[in-house]
Amino acid sequence: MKKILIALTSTSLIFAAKPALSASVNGNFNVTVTLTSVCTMGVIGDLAFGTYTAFQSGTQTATPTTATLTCTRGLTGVTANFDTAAPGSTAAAAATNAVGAGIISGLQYDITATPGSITSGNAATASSIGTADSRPYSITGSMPASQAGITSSGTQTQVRTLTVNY
Amino acid sequence: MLCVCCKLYSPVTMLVFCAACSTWSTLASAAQASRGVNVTVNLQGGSDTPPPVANQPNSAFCQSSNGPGAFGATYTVVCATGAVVNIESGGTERSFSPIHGGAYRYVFQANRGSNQLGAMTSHAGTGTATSWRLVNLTDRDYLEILINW
Repeated sequence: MKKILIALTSTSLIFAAKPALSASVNGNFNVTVTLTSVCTMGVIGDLAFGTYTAFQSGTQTATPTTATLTCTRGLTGVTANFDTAAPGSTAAAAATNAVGAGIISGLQYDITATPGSITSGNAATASSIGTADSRPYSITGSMPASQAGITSSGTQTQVRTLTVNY
Repeated sequence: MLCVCCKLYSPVTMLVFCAACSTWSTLASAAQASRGVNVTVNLQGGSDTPPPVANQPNSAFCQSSNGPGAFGATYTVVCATGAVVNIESGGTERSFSPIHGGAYRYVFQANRGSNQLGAMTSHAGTGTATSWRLVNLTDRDYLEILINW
């Protein structure tokens, strides 16, 4: 009985020793990248003040419009400002809210761009590239009452520029 | 971006600060995204509606000179009531002839001798002549009118 057991055990050892003959070797390497964060801004609709009647008694409020930015996820310290290219226009320094003023058809107006809630993008996974953050800016405007304006005919258009810094 | 703060400190401190400056420089090189936005307005009255007549909001009098058959004469009324306070002829060639009654306004020059003392119209106002008389003096005559206003 003992001999039989010994023989069986030896056979098992022989079979077990065969896989132990293969080997492996590992090497580490770095995956590197430098990410340049980017925001792109979609086309902004008109900031339309509609019809202003000279010397009207009430403040004229423009129909708000929205600038939507598509950005690298997780940006912080984002600021915004308006341009001063149009004659007579002014703009505050870049800040969370962009603030400016201008003149169109001889009418003074104020404009503000306020950031809205950020829609966070999805993180990338091993099987998906992820999505961007969406950052909306609501642009509003108002014209004070009792303004005379200057002779003009039809709807007048002035181009202002919203710049977002990140 | 230039690391100017590094000049003020010891080498060790400078190293730390320079590292900080370098990081800050990286952050300061912010990118931008810009887009134009049209501001539009249609000014009504900007070309075809004249602004309110300047003297109307503060004046109680309304004038008209183009009424039918007026021949250019200008009449002035109290805006609120329509009471006539003055009528002026349309031109020097048409002298005012108050033979049919009406509202009169005479412009006198205040004179003494050959000296003009001033224009009576400098403090012109509206009122009702309740009585008048001619005063004859030795060297001059004058008209005295009592006016209520």
